[in-house]
Amino acid sequence: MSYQINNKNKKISLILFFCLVVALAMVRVHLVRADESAAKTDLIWQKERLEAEITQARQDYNQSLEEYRNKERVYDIAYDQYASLKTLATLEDLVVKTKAVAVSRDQVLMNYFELLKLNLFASEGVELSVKNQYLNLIEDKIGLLKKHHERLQEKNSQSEVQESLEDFAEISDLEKISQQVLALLAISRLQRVYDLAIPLKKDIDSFRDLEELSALSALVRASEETDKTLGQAKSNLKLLWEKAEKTNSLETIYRNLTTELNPVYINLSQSLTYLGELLKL
Amino acid sequence: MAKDNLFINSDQTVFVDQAPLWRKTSQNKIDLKSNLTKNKNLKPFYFLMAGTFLLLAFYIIIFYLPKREKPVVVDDPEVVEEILEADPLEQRVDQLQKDLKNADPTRQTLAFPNINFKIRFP
Repeated sequence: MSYQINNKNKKISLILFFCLVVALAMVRVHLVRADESAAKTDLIWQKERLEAEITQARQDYNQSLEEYRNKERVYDIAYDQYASLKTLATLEDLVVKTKAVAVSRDQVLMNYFELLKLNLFASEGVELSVKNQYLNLIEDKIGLLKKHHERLQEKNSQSEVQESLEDFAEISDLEKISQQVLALLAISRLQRVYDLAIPLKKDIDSFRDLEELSALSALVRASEETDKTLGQAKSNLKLLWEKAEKTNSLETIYRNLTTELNPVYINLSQSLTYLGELLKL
Repeated sequence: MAKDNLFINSDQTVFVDQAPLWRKTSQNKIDLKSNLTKNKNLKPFYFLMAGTFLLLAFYIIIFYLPKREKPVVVDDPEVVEEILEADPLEQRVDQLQKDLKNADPTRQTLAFPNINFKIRFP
């Protein structure tokens, strides 16, 4: 009797143990899935937050640029007045207006580089090391502009303001860095389109069963033609990136942006048209 | 009769106030039939009745008569599946075309601001 009871207990214990293991496994699977969906949600949320920051940065930049234009107009008037009248009153007015326009100029540049930095950060077609290199460069310039901006606000006399204006001249290469980053952004946008076109082409091929031997020859020819244009886009992009790596070449690319990027743009445009046609054949 | 009985009836349970309730004859305040026959111009009345009838008939036709069902075209399930699968691919192609438009090298939205680097005193 006791033997039978023990046996029964053992069976129950085994069943309970088995149920516990299954329950733990299910909980683990659920947690892993929750983590994955949480990670995906995080990524989407980060992207949305970045887009919101870019929108806000653009608004700040536009606003500061408008303020700068107004202050520049006022500075020009004060400059002309002092140049023609040469009185103490006009000089005092000029000092005040010069300081105001210089402060505003710093603000515009800080906002501009902040906007540029966010756009570079958000771009998807740039190699990470190159991206980080330019992000650091932009951060340096923003730091220098901030220091200059803070010091200038404490200056009041003509000589102090003059000194600050000379300090500003030492913050060099602002436009050069901007051109380099803009060229990078332009190439990266095309690179991203190409990167997304490749898996799309594969998906279209499998949707149309082009891997099957029985696929229509017209479809196969159309698919091969699309591959050809995508291949041309790839080699033109490769040439662009190789050129971009050379010193000072990004500014040259920026100055001739349409000429430099048009071949890739045309290849990609043709490829996407073919992909659209491939779906409808 | 009730009026006659009013003074003659010695029933103590009947109240004088209840006399009007016993009268069955109408008080001639609303007599539709005689009013209608007296009124020679019944056309507005007929139009009103006809309009009401038409509205009612319209209401019944629209809401209560059985509707004719349109013949349902049943697509081949394979064709329906293909259409469903093509839609996301078409959307991806459309989205990429939009992205390419934004990547047009002739469009530059972040050009360096045109500022005066030579702010100075005369």
